[in-house]
Amino acid sequence: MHIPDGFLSTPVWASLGAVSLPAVGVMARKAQAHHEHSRAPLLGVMGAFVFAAQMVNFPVAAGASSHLLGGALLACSLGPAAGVIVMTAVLAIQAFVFQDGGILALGANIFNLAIAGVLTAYIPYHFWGSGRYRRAAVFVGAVLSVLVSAGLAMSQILLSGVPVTTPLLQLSAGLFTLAALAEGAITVAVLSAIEKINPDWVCRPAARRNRVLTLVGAASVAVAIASIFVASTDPDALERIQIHIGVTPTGALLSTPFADYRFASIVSDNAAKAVAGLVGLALVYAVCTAVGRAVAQRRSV
Amino acid sequence: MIEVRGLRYAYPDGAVALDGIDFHLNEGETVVLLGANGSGKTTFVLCLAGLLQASSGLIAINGIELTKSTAPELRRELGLVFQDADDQLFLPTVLEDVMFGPLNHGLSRADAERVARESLARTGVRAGYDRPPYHLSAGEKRRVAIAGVLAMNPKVLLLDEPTTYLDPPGQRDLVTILASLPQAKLLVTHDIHFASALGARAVFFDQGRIVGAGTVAEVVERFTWNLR
Amino acid sequence: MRFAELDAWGLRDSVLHRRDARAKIIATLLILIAASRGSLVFPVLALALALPLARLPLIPVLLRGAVVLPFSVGFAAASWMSGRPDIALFVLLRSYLSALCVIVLLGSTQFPAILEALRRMGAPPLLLDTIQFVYRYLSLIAEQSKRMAIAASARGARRSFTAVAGATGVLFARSYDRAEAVHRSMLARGYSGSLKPRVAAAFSAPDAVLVLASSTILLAALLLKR
Repeated sequence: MHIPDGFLSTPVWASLGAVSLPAVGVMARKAQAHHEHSRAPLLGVMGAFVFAAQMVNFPVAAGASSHLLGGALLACSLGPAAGVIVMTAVLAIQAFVFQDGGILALGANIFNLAIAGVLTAYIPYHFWGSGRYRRAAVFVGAVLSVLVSAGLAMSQILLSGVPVTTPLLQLSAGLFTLAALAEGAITVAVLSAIEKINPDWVCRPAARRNRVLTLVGAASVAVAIASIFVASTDPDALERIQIHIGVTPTGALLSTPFADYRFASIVSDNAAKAVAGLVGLALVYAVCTAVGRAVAQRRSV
Repeated sequence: MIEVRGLRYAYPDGAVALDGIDFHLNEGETVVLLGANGSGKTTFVLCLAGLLQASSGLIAINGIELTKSTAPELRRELGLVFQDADDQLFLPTVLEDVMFGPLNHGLSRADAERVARESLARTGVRAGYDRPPYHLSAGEKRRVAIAGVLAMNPKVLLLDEPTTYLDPPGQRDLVTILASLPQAKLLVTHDIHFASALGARAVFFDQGRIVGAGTVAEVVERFTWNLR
Repeated sequence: MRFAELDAWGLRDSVLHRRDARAKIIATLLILIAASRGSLVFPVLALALALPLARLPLIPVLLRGAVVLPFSVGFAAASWMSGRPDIALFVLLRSYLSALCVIVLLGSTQFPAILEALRRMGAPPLLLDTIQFVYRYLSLIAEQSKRMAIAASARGARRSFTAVAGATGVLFARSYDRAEAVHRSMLARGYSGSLKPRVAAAFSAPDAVLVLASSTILLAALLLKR
């Protein structure tokens, strides 16, 4: 589910971009922490591996085939922070080289597939990954990862005002569930193959609690489940949310483009909102850069 | 130039790869390392470059002992050309890749570029400096990889199976290029013709030990069963 | 692979090719925002201006934009079935035009220049270095994977689930070994922890004009209310 440009409304892509940019910055710092040398060669080549592995068809059942997404596999092998960076790099290449996923929508795609996808996959592994429920933890993590990523992407598109009827939503929820189960099975099988070759390549979860991780994961699971639930049971509620956050499926944003145009004053509702969004983005950018610089300086001292 | 005494190396899983190697290399000399797959040649070269830490024994380069702390400094004397050129050529363009080493040694961009262009010319790469390395042929990749090492102005070249993936004309070109370089050379190879064309001296590796030494012809003669 | 075409376009020369990658990225974002806020006239206008400037071949660019269609057609069909054919058509066109805008950016800029621009705009160096390695080793590892599949079927392998999983594990192992070898080769050439940035030219007046022009289009999109 790589969302292309042109699907998300301004509040949706802007707010997700505002969350993703600093989060990737933090993850980059975490992924490099405690390592003497830059991890870029390892992370980069493993990103190329994920790319290649995504092209491999896994025969699952009755002639159907599925393919790996890789978020869970990365979380369990390289660790969550490095996994987020590798997935982000893969998404960036997919957007910038293959036009698979938009540029404006990149923040949203990073949030769904890299941040939420990898971190939710890691949560069960973090708590049960070293005990007897290890395989189950990997499986559940991979299943959740796909469900959360797809649920988030779906709800963002719905929130942006693209109308999808309830039966179609239920159908796609069913398809996502099948893909998620396949991802679980594939991840467990590939991870045990890797472990047989070299056990050191699989990350051992530290036995300590990680509050941030728990929080982020729990929040994204809640959001995904809630939005799927709301969307599939009560489409009117969705419309109310859309009106509440400023997008209306029947409003100016997506009304037919063939209407005539007229000049509006500069303080027109639409323009004001867009300008506010841009100012917000600029602020986020400034804060991220400043924080990044401060961190870099503190590290080099 | 290079002095090795009693070098031992065991992999983390306990397998012994090098079992008491004594070796020396003089300035400007060319030595060929022969031996079967898994006899320890590549491990030996990686130890010399300080990329693997020996379990025991001594490596001295220019009279300075190779340790974890002296390794970055001593690596400047050694130019290591990897068996698979794709391991070495990782930057977006040929020129940038050759500039990687000089830049790491603190040269300015202008100086690094000048050195890089000189090295590329010396290995016979005359055009296409803006090409991405993955578009090159095997022979060109090998030349660029050697240029990347020459640009760092090493005293010794360590070449790990440099004829891999090269066709016969490519191998002949490589002999010409290597013969024209004044540096001391340590060549790991299975190719007897290539070895005789370049090497004055050869050592034969077997199960982590050097079991024979002499001219290339003598070593080939003695271990003919293993080599043919 | 599919990116050979873009690579070749990026090596051409035009007014747009010579612009600073930062200016082009910002301009593209502004146009995409204009497309997401207002009428489709604006991305069409931007494309009509940019395509001749970039001297890119029209038909291949239009065909390449079709990569977004599978996704867009799916959602357009869903909207249509939900009783909103107007939205279906609009979303379809808008995502297609947005993709064309991105293709003009990518077709007029070499990929390393985009990374350098992102570096100068403050993206984390570890991420950018990682992207660069993914880009470099992408086709190498994909080809390795293909060769393994061919070798397996040449020996009469049936593609069972466990066999494919095992092969993917081996591919992981080979990639890991490759990563270690690459890292060693970097250490052997004096690598000390970070890639030295390329030098890029300063932001010039024509670069500013490009950003200004796209800002004007965005402003027009915001002011011209339907």
